[in-house]
Amino acid sequence: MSKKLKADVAVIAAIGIVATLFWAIPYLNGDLSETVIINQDGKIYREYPLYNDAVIPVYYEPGGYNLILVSEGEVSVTDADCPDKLCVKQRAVSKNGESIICLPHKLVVQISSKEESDLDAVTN
Amino acid sequence: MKGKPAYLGLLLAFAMMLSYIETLIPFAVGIPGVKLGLANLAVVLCLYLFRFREAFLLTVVKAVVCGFLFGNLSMIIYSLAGAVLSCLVMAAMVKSDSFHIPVVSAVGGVMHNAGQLLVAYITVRTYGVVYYVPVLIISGLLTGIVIGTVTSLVLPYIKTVMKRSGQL
Repeated sequence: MSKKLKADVAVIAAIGIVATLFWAIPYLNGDLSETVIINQDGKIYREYPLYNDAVIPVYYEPGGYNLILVSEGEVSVTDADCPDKLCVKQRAVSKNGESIICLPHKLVVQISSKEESDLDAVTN
Repeated sequence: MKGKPAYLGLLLAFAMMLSYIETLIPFAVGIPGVKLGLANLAVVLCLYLFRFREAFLLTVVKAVVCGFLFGNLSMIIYSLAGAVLSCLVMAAMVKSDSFHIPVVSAVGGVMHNAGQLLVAYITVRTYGVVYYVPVLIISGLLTGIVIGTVTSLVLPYIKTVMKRSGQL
């Protein structure tokens, strides 16, 4: 093999490896189609994979915080310094469309998952 | 090289024509963002006929002009990011003179898509674009190899013509 051909093969192989790595990322990193979407003030603040255990602090700019716990596909707010603490008292959510809302901090934590809710509809 | 502006004009016209032809070809594989990238033929040719400066100029002008003609402003931003990155990497590879033309063009195709994905990631800030990376890398690779092969077939003839008229 000539020197040029060797370099060619190396470059193509490297690109192939990079493509494979990116293809594998969603599998290694938890399925990205199942995510925890954190909205703050109506805008998407972050997205996290649902099946990647994590503790996520979210700071509310005028002062305040919420501590979000992602554990085994369930999401809950474990701590917050909002006045009513409704978000902390709420049970953990895990099914598609379920959410935890902290009104004082304008925070909405929503699940986007393939696992559909057992409920047909919810009236508020 | 007196006729250089004329040749660059020809290459730009060539790129614009290819961009137009590409809008006519129904090359739909069901994945948005995957296209032949015919206009890159002109950029690869330019890199081999002239130097980096000329190719870079061609790239930028091509992206802006073709964007206004066949696309919109957001398309210009995407294709500028892709085209500039692709041109820089290809220029480095041409200068090193250790790769064949199809491979240079293939890497260019991949970089073109990489630049666009980067802009997409910056605008939407979702990890969802990661899904798209392997698809666009492979498609960039394949279309790049096709474009590069065509370039390597055409290049000797253009060089002969340019030599005969004392331009090279």
